[in-house]
Amino acid sequence: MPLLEVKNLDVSFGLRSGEIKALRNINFTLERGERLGLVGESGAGKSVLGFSILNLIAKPGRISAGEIYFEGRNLAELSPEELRSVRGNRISMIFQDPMMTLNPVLTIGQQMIECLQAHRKINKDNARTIAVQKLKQVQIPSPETRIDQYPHELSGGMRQRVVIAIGLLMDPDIIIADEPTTALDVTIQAEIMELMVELCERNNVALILITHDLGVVSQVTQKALVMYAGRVIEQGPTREIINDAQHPYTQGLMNALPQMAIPGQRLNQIRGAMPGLQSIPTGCAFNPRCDYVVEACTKQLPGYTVSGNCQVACHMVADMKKAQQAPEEVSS
Amino acid sequence: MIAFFIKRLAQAVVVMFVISLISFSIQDNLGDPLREMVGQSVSEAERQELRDELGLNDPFLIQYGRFVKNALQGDLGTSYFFKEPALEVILKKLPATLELVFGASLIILFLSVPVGVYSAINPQSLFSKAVMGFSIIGISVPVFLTAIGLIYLFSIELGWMPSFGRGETLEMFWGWESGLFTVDGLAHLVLPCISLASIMLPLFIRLIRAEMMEVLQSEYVKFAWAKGLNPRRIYFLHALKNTMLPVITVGGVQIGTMVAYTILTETVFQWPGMGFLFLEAVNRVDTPLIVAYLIVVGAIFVVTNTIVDLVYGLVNPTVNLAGKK
Repeated sequence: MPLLEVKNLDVSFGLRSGEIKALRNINFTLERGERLGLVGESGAGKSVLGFSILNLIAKPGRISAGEIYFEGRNLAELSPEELRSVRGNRISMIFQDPMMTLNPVLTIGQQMIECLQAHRKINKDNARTIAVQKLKQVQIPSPETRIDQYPHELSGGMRQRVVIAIGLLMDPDIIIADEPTTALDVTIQAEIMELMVELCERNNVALILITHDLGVVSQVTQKALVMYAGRVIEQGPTREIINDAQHPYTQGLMNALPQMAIPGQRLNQIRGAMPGLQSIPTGCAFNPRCDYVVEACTKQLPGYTVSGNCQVACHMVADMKKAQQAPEEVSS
Repeated sequence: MIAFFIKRLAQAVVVMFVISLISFSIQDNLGDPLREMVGQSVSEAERQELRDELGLNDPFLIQYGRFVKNALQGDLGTSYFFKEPALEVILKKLPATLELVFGASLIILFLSVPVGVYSAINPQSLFSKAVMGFSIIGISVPVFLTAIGLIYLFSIELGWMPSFGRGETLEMFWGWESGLFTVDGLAHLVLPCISLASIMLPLFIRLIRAEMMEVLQSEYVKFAWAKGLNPRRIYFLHALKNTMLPVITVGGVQIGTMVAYTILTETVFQWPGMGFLFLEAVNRVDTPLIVAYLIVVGAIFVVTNTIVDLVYGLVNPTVNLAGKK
């Protein structure tokens, strides 16, 4: 049994103008200690997916269909009190902007100790000892004095280390990191990412990394989910997706990487922009931007085709597979 | 800390100087104090002599200089009507007013926080919508109307509450006459306090609600949820502490304003406090008393704002009052 299994997950936002589906039919699994990347443009729904696992989507959003199995329990159906015992305890989160994540009027220590005390019976002194230990693990210098400081006395990188330390406090099974380095200085981005991966590896923690940086995904994760307009359009082992992207959108993303560019020439980019959730085109949501569009693309939502170890939602890939398979059938 | 107080003191000196200048310069326009002081039978020549004696014919700057010199020695002039030092007359009435403001502040504090927080957490509930509706009425209805309505309902129709005065008071230390320690005194406090609170309470409920709703959207509150904290801790520690920062600032100013609002409340309830005294002084053209009142109220403003800044520094760690590192 996988550690986490998301099945046919739909998330909707009930607005005055009607219900909008932010996520459609999401399926994936996560094994213990595995690292999964959620990739996509802004607005593709990757953050919503990250937050929906702990049922933390802001109102008026809600899980409208599907199941999220964690250790055999469906998180989508847990009571608020049961969910609370999972949040920050078995599954913890790391947010995007460390300048905003920590409460400005509480000390680092208060914000760490309260998390320990929320999940187990422990007195302040013991909780403090654990908190200092975790701060040491994330390489914060002189944690004994830092713990009594307020967030504004720490730099952005330090604060993100504190947030990571809070994420690790209860030795969780899964950490969901929502663009954990985007708000940081470029020079410390790599440092923080490395630290996070190392700590996850050492403690056998599974990581769900939400990012738009394909480079990071290829370095850090074993599995990747490429999202577009609320749907997973390609998923599979990271190496296969990076080396041999099947979906035209993923191919476009790969070609847009500066590393792929020829010096002196313009960077490749995917023309157009992702549609808003209220105006998703019929058929494949990517069809207005796709170079390989065929008639079926504008009419029918593509199902998933298995290609190698990947699943791809594309009519063109499906046709190619059929074409490849057909002669074999004849010959045999 | 000392640096903060010295800075504050310097500010206070400037503020008090401006207040004294303004209040002293309006006194010439309030009417002829002689008319109230002496009877009809005093001749014009005698009046002129009295004016000379009181120094009312001197140039403005000389009069003001004399006033400041005396004021620095604690002498704000002698009330024409009471024939006593104006400051003493006012300070004798100060306890009554402070108790009124204190009572109203308690009502505001203990109602606005829970109601504001509840309606921020449950903005769609019937209770919250009703509170929002009533608060508009509360803000719009003038204090004297609320006061008269309260007297009509609870004193005249129902006969539950006394309608005027302070009731039985006890002599405390330094001549402080307090109504807080007798049942009768407390009963007399209820209606005036409610009517004084009626104008500020809706304002504070709306302020706390709006601030709290904004704070609840913040990343650190979302992170607190993601940590699996108890909702009570999230609402009343993480969110409320941040909500109260701007509320404290506004609240400090409003306490001073409330001292000023007591003029209306005290008049309707015949409350023997500073505000009531001030209105009488205006009617009697008792200029030293008017000036002294304005200066005392100005001083109260300065003191409350200093206290508010101190409290703010305690609640908000990013504010560094003392200049310590």
